[in-house]
Parts: sequence; structure tokens; C-alpha cells
Amino acid sequence: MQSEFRNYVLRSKETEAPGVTTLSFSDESNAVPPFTSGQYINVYFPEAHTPEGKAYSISSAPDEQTFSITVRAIGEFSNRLSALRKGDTVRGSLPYGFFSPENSGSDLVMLASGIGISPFRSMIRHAKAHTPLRRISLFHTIRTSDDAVFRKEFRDAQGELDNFSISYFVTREKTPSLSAAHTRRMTAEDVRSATADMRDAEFLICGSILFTRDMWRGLRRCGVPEDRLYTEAFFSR
Amino acid sequence: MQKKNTLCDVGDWLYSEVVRDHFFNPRNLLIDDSTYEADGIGVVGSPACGDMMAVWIEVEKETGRIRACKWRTFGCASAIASTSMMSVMATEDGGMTLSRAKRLTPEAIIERLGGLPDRKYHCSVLGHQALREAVMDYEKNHAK
Repeated sequence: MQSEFRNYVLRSKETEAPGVTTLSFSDESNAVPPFTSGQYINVYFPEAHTPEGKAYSISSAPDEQTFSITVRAIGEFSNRLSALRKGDTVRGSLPYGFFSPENSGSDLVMLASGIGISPFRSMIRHAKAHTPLRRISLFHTIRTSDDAVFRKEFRDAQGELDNFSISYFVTREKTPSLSAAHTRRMTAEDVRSATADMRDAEFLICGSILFTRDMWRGLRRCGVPEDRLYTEAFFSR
Repeated sequence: MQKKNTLCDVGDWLYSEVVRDHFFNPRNLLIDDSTYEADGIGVVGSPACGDMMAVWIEVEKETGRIRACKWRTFGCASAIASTSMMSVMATEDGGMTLSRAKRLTPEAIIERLGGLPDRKYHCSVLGHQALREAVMDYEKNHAK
């Protein structure tokens, strides 16, 4: 239950893409709260009249010196977060959520739309440090090549992880700068054709409500059991 | 013959018939938990934040399946309907296994409800999180 809160201090800030910023925090004693890759924190701005706060997935790995959230500046909360300066403090919950693999040895299939890539960066960083042989397939659908947040980091990860593949689907560019990107919407069939064993893999889907629903339905139609599918939809109230 | 409008008639409902049914006739609701003996309890959200959800489960020891799933919420019509449906899904067909219950998604619940408006999606999130908390509470208290 999210009943504990912390004041988090912004330690560093990095622009990932136009309008997308990674903010790295620790608490006032310079500690990082324990978390599992895939979890999120709720951020609160008391004067925003949104008592429930807003959730942001953690994009860093659990054993780093700070924890990060990666924010696209599209709403009141995200714009406020993006405008924070180093040393500023925000109120947030302890990490929470269950969006993570259930089985330590299963193949992982990660489906992201847009900024829904954030929790997968945490999982991929964690895999690099702890399970470099794990088979991971990442599918990322974006509007333009500029939206391919973490592209360099993931390209580098392909050299460090033996079984890591990434497929981009670019929907609003005819000639994307990403190599080998598909220029259309992602479908469950794309995932099926690229996945060796659909029944034994774990599928994690993160993005808009529409994206998670479509992919969940599509993969169910492809025969993926319900308990092999897990979702995290980004939404505004 | 034209159907008589009722006081609450808003024309074409945004909600499916299934949602309406579970809202007006919620299944497995637990109003008074003071004497209820549950094997696992999960609570998420808080009234101060606008939504709160509590879920109580009973687990069949021999099979590891959910025998009963009760709930109570401080939430809206969508939260009530989606949690009611969740409790039905958790207990139907001999009860859901704990591993499957931990992987129940809002998408699965919404599909069974015949859809929810996107702006009500968040209302279906608390139920499955509370169920997951209840399963974890059971596993913690009944560790082999």
C-alpha cells in the first residue's frame, strides 16, 4: 500500500530527445528506496489539486546510486517535473507495482509504445548486470525516429547482451533514420513471427491504454495464455 | 411502446450492460469485515487520494485455488463494476490459481465487462492490485 512518502532531491537531469528528460533522484539522505525493475513512483504537487498524484515508471536499475524517471513533457505534472532544477525537491511515494517478470529464467518479450519504454530500460539495465544470457526481445513503436529514447544505450546493450534484439516501428515517417525500422504500426503478428516460443515467454506490455489493449487482445488471439501477459498502461485522470 | 424514462436516464449509457449489472448488483461485496476470517487481505489506495480498495480472499489449501474473493471500495461506478467482475473471475470454475491471480490484468477484467471508457481505465487498476496484495499476504502468512 502506498502510504509512505519521501522527499526526493533531483541530483541530475538529462535530455533524451526533444521534450523527453530523464530526472535522477535520491532521498534527502542520499539513499535510493528499494525497488524492483518495472515499478513506479507517484509524484505529488500539493498545489496541483490532484491528491492522487501521478505515476511515473522508474527507468534506472535498482543497484544504481540514484533512481530515475523519464518524462515526456505533455501535461501539467510532466511539465513541472521537466522544469525542475538540480537540487529541487519533489514529494513522492515509495516505489510500487507488479510490472515485472514472474519467472527468472523465462524469455522476455517487451512491447512499448512511446515513453512506455521507461520500465524496460530498467529491466534491460538489470539484465546487463545480472542475467546477461537471458533472451530479451524489445519491440518499440514510436511516431518518429526522434522518439526512439535510449536508442544509443540499447544499441550498445546489443553488444553486451548475447540474446537481446530490438525492433522499431515508426508510424509517422517514410524514411526513418533508425536502421531496419518498420514504417507502420506494430501488430501482434509481428511479435509472433519474431518469437521462438510463444507459450513459454513472458510478455510485458507498456504504453497507452489503446496500445496495451490492442496488444493484449492480439497476443491472446495468437494463443498466449493470460497469465503470460502483463500490462502497464499510462493514463491521465 | 416507448420505454418510460427514469430519473437517472442519461440516454445512451457510456457503460455496457454488463458494467451496469455489476454496478447495480455487485457480487461478493463485503460491507462488514469485522468478523470475516480471510486467508489474505490486500488494501491499495487511500480515501484521501480519491480511491480505496480492500480485497479479502479465502484459499483452498489443498488445491491452492481462490475459494472466495470479497471486496469493498471507496470508488466510482467503474471501480465497483470492475472489482465485482474481478471477484467473479477469481472464483469461477473452481477458483483461480494464485499464480494466475497475480497476473490478472485490467485488460482481462475490462474485456469481460464489455469495455470501459478509456478515461475510466484507472478505476479497474486498483482491484487487480488489491487482489495481488491479498495473494502476497496469503503467501507471506502461509509460507511452507
